[in-house]
Amino acid sequence: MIKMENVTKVYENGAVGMRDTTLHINKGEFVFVVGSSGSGKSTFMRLLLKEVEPTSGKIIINGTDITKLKRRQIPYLRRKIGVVFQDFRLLPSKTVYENVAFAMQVIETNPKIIRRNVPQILAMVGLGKKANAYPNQLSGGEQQRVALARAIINRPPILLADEPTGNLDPETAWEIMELIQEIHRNGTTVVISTHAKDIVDKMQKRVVTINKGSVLRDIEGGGYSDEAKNVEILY
Amino acid sequence: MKLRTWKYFINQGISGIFKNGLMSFASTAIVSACIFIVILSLCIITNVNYIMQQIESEIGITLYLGEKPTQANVDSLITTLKNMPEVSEVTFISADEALEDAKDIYNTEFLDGLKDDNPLPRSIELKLKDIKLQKLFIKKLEQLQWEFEEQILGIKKADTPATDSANEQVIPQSQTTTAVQTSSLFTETVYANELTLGDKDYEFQGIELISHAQQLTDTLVTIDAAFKIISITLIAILSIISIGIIMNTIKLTVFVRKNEINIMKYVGATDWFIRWPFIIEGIVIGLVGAILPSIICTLGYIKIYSLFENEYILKNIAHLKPAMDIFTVIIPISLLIGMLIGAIGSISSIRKHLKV
Repeated sequence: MIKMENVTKVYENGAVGMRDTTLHINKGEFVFVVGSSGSGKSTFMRLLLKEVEPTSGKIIINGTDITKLKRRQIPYLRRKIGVVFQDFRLLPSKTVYENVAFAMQVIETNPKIIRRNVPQILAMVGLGKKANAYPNQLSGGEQQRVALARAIINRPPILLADEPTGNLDPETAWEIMELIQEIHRNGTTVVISTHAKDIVDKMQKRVVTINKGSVLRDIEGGGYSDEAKNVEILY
Repeated sequence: MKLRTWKYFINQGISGIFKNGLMSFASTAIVSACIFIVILSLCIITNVNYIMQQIESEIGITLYLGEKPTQANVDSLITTLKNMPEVSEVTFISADEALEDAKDIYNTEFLDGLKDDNPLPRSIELKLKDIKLQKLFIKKLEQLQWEFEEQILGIKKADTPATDSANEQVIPQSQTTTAVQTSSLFTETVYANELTLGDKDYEFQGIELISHAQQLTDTLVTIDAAFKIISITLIAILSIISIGIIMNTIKLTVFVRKNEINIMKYVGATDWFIRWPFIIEGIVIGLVGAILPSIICTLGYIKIYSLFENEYILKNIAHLKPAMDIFTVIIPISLLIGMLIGAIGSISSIRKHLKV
């Protein structure tokens, strides 16, 4: 589903975001990407969304080498990837319903289908009764649910979550993680970048640790805290 | 793009105007101010040109004819004149017509007595296509004046100074008495005629006099050229300033919604999908901004026009261009400029934000 082959990203100011990294993520996988701030986690996410171009190497998503995509083809790549962010990024002037429907309008979906699918997805994320509320009337957890609903409304094969629980209290964070797991169970490939040690430890999924732009460690069913041990082993 | 997508764009564009009400109001006001100035300068330019044309069309060249040419001579002269490329109009005025005109001007029956012994000369009035050509054209006419003289007197002209011996063959011996020019430095054309040929005092019998107002023409040509340069520069500067101000204003409205643009990019909206609502917003703002000054200027112009036309002295000098003639052109232009400014402003303002 996602293949990174020898990807290097050097920014214009000389900072190295990614150093000769090769990483494969299969269809239907659930992957945590962990690492300290500035480790290259966000470069990884931005490369997948083609927000930044790799300096060298190939990035293949769903069989397409995205480094070869033209600018006008980028929107069609992004329709295959649902994204959520730490800060939710909802439109404050739109209601919950409109925020989700917006993602469908943008890709010119038939209004009938919008009217059918949006309530379904809102019910799934547990916000069926808050369709007409505005984001500022919602709690952080609820806002992230709206963001998740928006990310998956167009049924993308991949869900990218950048620190999705970073702004939430532990209990709410778990609720969000459970929701993401449910999305995963429906067949979506999930990639989450996070700092949340307890969540990573507890979920026992594949954990990719990035440090200084390289994959330091890649363990199936691992935990966040394994990082320290492995660092000792490696050096 | 599907029809419902266009509906969506228009919807979004218009609701965007109301969502950022204050900013839209500011943009509209600025467009109005700029278009107002543009219309004003267009009105002034058009009218100055219009008045110039009226004055220019009054300026003609009159050829006064002597007694000697026969009507056949005159007819062939008129044909020659009509065939000259610079000439737009040739009018022959017979002695009788000249008398009638004089009677009109002086408004008296006294001139009736002159009917049988009319002292007024026949004349030909010429109008030029462009008064800028007048200076050169007069030179041509002076040439023609000599040619006509030869024709009616049946004599030949010497093309080169008389010191050239070859010329002496074409000059009848009896008529060369005073025609010899001694210095080869003189390049003035010499004519064989017993009446002091090539002399400034020579009295023509064909075209007696070429009457024209070179001083006035020169002044008009200068004013006309200067005014055109000034007005074009003024409009260019104004347009650039307007686009600059509007771009900045729209940039602010776009900045307010950069999050929205950002999110649209993440959910896979194409660049044009993102642009259109903003472009429509810009076009509507530009259009509304242009309508207001169009109405004000039209009403104002009609008022000024009626004042001008009621003023006896002004009316006799020149006329303003009628409001209908001027605004059927200016209003579509200004609406177009308004929409264009709005669209250009929008496109250039969102360009930066699309690079995500």
